[in-house]
Amino acid sequence: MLRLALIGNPNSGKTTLFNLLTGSRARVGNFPGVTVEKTSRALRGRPDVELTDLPGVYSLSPYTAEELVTRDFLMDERPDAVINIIDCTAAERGLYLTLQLLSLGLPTVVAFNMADELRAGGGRIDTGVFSKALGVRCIAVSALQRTGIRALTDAAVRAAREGSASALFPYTGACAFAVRELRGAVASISEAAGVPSLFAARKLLEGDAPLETRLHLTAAQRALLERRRADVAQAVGCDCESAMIDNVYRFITTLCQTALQRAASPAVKLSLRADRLLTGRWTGLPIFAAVMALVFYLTFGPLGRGLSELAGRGVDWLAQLLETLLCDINVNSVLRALVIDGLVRGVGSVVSFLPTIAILFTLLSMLEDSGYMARAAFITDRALSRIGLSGSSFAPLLLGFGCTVPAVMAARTVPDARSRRLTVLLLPFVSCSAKLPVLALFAAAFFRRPALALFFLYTASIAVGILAALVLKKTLFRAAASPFVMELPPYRLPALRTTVQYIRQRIGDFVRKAFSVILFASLVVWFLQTFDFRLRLVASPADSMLADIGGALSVLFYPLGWRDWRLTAALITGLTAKEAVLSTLAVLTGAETGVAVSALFPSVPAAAAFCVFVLLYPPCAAAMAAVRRETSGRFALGLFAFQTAVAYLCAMLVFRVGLWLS
Amino acid sequence: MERSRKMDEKKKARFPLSALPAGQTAVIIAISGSGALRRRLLEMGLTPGTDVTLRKRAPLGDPLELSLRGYELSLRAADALHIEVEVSRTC
Repeated sequence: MLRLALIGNPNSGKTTLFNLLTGSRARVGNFPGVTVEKTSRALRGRPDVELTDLPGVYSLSPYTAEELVTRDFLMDERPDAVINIIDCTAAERGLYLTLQLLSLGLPTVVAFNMADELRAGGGRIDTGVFSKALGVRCIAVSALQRTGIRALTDAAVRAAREGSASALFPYTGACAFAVRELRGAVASISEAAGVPSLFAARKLLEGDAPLETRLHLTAAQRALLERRRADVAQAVGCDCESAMIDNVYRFITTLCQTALQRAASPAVKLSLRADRLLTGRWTGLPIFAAVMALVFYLTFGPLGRGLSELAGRGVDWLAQLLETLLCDINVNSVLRALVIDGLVRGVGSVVSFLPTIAILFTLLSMLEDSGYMARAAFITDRALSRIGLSGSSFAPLLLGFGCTVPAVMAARTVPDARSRRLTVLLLPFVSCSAKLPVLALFAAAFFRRPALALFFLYTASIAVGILAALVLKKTLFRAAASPFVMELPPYRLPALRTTVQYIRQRIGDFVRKAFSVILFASLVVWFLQTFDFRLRLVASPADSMLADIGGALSVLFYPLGWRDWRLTAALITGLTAKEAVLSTLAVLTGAETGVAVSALFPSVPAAAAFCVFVLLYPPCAAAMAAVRRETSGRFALGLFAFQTAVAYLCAMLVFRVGLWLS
Repeated sequence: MERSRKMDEKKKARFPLSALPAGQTAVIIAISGSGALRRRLLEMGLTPGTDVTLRKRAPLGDPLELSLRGYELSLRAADALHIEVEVSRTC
């Protein structure tokens, strides 16, 4: 079996090409344990060739998670050949990555994508000259027009079979001398460590610390390295690192002068014109607000809600059908309750999420593919930089108002791991829509102006979130945010095929993983509600295990002002889904009214403290599952503890201040 | 005479990219600073001698939108401070 890898800059059309090269029905394998995804599939029409889609990167430097994943894959797994895709319209930047790839000594084929666009703009590309200069096959393709794909596949397979790599040496002058000498000196240990000597030499001269540790240089080799770096710096007149990079870019610039005639493609020209409005000084913000409002409206407005209700009704119908069926065949009542209340209702709460998530991800994928998401980041970056984030965190945070689950999943679009984790950590402070009915009931029961109270709660939550962000920025997340250097790709029409595939994968993920957690959690709650500690079926939940546990845990909440076990039980079930706080209270008090609920509290400050606790305490099981999947189990636990602590402290503060005021 | 020479000097003056007026093109002279940011900028093609145009500032004043080597790049003003440029003599 031949193993190929696809690599290229972000926005170079890599995903489109990957989907084109592989069949959509082929095996999809996500590699576990990494925050960055790699996907492998069989090549279309060639089940014996596997293609791995690596994260989009600009370089093989060890700075971002994506770069590390990519270079470790290339060095450790050593695919049989690499397909390197380059966007013709930004060829120089793409070729910088190519030249690093070539020094890895892997058989490579270069695909110059969007060649048609370049020509449409009046430009021209001579792949023959590139092939000769780079020492590998270069092919003009168009992933959108689907041209050159067959030739590319054939060339890649041939390169993998022949196994010959390019011997290109792009350096000149002092850099060339230093690379050659160092290459000779480290060849034996670098080859032993599985790192090609040319790659090792150039990366060492560029000051690549992880590689230095990996190779275990001897004292003599380290001294030679330092000497050569000083020599290069002296000869070129700047530091060695920039001299090396500059040297490669000089080679690229010279090559492009003969083989490529750059021209602004129609897409680029159109983008520039569109951006006059879309990121314009006066028009940028209003248009941005309108786009976000539209996304919100479509997802959580009548369309999303309607579909969700429809799905909910479908589940009810199924539950009834099953109930009659199980009654008919005389199934024991406990088993019946398990299936209906535990399984079907538990699954139902997930199913009713699905339409919302599907709509949301369709829109997100379209925003992302069209290039507008990069503009949204461009517009919001300044505000978000104040709390240690960057523009790329905007979309996930906004989505958090609807549902934390897709928001956590959307945090994937945040490019670096540190900001991604900080974003996820801050998401619970953006109150999800499931908390709204709970808070609304309390606001109506205890406050003269419920709407104002609600607004205050939401704002307070965000304020606490900003405070938490500032504290986290100064403590756990002190590592400098990786700089905000972001490409603004030309606008493009989102490809339907890519969107559909993206959504199918996301929904599949959601159903598979979140399902199991929600299902498990609702089964546990059902079990606790239905039995007592001697595993006897109870007549009323007041005799159940849940009541006992709630009673015992109530002690913890004495400092917050409330003592009733039913409130504690509601908080516990609220961990499966926030709506459950209300439904549990309804079951336990026998009435879903403000009056019944207000009877549970000794004082108004206690009720306010409860509201604040509900507002801030850890997100539901589905969201926690998403957090665990996107980060790690430990991180999810940390988030849980952090969020509990913040909620507890804030609730206590509200209770004490409230008592003092009254 | 005195004034025109001053003007001339001003024209050729080197200054940080963040001080470039919107819509103007300049040549990169050097990138100061260190670490990941500098490396990233160099690798994205902001090497000495490259023409770079400052297209605009974001609506809130930051970041900047640059154009170089055929593509558009967004960068914070604080980071662009490390990029020293010189306005081309021809303009």
